[in-house]
Amino acid sequence: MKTNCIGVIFSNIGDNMVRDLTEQRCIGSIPFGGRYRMIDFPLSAMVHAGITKVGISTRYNYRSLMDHLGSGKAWDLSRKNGGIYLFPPYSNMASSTNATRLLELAAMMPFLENSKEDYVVLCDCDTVFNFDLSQMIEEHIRSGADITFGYVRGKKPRGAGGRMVFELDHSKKIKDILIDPEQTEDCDYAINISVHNRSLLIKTVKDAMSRNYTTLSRDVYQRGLSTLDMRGYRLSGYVRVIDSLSTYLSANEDLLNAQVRDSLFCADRPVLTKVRDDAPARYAVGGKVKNSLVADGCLIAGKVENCILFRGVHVGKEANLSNCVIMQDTIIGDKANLSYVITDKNTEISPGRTLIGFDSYPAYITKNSLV
Amino acid sequence: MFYKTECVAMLLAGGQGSRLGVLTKKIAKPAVPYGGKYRIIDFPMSNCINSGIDTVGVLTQYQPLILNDYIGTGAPWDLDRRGGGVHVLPPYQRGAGADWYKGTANAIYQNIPFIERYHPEYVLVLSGDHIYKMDYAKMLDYHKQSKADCTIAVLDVSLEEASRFGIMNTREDGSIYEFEEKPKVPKSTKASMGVYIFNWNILRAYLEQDEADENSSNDFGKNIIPTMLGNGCKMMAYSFDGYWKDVGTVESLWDANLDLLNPSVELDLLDENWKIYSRTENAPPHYVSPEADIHNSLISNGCQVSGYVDYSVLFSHATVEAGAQVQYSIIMPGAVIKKGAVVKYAMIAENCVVEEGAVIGGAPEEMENRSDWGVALVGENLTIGKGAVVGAGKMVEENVKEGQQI
Repeated sequence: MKTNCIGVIFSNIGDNMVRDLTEQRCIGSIPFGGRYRMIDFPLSAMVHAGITKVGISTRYNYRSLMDHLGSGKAWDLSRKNGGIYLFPPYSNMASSTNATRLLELAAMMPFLENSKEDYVVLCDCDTVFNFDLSQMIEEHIRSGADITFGYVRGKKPRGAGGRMVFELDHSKKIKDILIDPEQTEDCDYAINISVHNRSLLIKTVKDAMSRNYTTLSRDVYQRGLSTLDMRGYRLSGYVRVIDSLSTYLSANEDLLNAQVRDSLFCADRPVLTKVRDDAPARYAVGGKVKNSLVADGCLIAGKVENCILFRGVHVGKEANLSNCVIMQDTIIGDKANLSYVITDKNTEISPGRTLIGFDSYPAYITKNSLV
Repeated sequence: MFYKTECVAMLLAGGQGSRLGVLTKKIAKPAVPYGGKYRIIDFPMSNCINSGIDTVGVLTQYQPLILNDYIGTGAPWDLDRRGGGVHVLPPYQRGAGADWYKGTANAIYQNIPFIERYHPEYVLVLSGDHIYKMDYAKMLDYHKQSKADCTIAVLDVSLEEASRFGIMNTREDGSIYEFEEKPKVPKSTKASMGVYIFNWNILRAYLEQDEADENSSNDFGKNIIPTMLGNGCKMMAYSFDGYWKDVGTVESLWDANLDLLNPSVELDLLDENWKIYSRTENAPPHYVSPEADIHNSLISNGCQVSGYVDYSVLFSHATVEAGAQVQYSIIMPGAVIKKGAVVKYAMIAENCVVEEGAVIGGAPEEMENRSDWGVALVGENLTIGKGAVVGAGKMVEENVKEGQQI
């Protein structure tokens, strides 16, 4: 079903939370779960909610994002009407490399103005989820709110420019917004996905720009508590924010849990991603794999336990991997020994090397490096 | 818009493949699953695009639904093009009546208008029944260099096998002087691979002449090739050296799948320089549980493995539960092997459920009479009841009840 709604995705917001992984890419193109990129989660949710026009804002390090998105065909977003609109930095914007949602929205104003749909969904790329976004949009329309924010209840993760924590009344109206409060208890914190009325969003952004404001959360939402009708919408299913390298590792390992997999990879709303045409994974003689997620194109001759292996990974004979995330096309030499290690794309671990990290501080090997 | 194209490929994909039994009850042979994520037709289609041939006509006739869906716009093979690209060509009705494709040659004859749009010099005729990787561009170069009217790709087979194939008897320079279909006493071991390149103007004339002959069975092997030879056309054999397998029978399909697990077989699906493309579903990577025990196997995206898997191929979304055993078997997409079930030397088609404790197939050495042995085959969407037994070499076409023995 087509909806009366367009999407906007911010691909850089949160880059600084996982600096290692975003050295050569934006948070939207961080690989996740064996074959996905972080942007696949919001993009798939939008497509499954019937959104066919998505603006993607990007400020820097976007080569790998562009490569991943291509024409948008993998998400059915290579279209005559709508499809993907990519917004790299504009040279005429003074603060063009500054990534805040407000400035980025201001930069894509013609896209917002020229659309005919009544609603806009804004979303970041720092969260792994797969919920039915169409229900959130419906709820927004039904309630007549100005803005509806997605939230979950739990321990507050970090957030780009501060994570919003809500105080909600019984009708889910937002009574108060705190940004990064000292909080150790469970709270209702924002997942940065929100539904807006397009005309109001345009007005708000223009107004905020005329006052030289820079952020949505502090300058628009907090200041608008008394004037805007803002409501919360609790997200269901598996929702996890990636706010550090260790949560990146543990969120990947969450996929080894059957309930998480069922929630995230549900058959009705598959997570869509770019196809790479690898052959099925090949278990060679001597390969021994336990409790792991293995993508196509892998060749396994060693021992693998509690790991996520991305596409095209080779594990040598008598190599021993435990609790690792091994990204695309990594070569693990014979008899190498890795534990709590994240290897980025195209790395090579020479035979016999040993690398040990810890769950709260995984070892990270940068892209294209040789150990 | 149609642009002039040097070489147009015509892929014969209408065959029923009746020797594959229940596997081709509802799908045409080229659409039969192979190798964990492919269908047979992916091989000739990928060969075309990798060889730089971007105009392909696919001739369909038997059970075309799945094949049509699968080919779609041709995007997975990069064959969605403005001018050329892939075109599915079913038989059609004309003013003078409607005809099914009477034979392979007639199928091409009926599509002369399609080929003519591109004004090709050459036409490459392929069949959708074989697993192989081949650079057709090299064959075309050979065809041009030798100034042949027709070039036929041949494979060197053993003398014992030769009587199962169409055999080309050649002179020293590679030119063919005689063609023998399944000769009892083969004079050579050069077997036709079903890959032909013709000069289009010559082929066109022969197709028209053949069509006018009411006694002809309108077949390339039976009619066109022998007539061309008889008329003194220059016909060359192009020797191909590499893996090639006709997957026409249950056993050969099973065998060709397991060949992928044999390191000495030279069909490398991981080769980045000659990828085999396929239309793939969106599936997460496969999950291997702590109880799983997997040896020397191919496992695809979306599988869930908790049992014992040895020397087998698991297609996407196949499930092997804890305590189940799968050995020397091919488990097609979506099939579920439940707890304690045993599947040996078998092919389980799409979306079957093998209930707890059922036993399917058996090893050759378990047979009283070894010549009775065969690969067990379960057709798509069937359920094999708890504790049921399906013997080695048996073919199952309907649900098997709990405890039943077949």
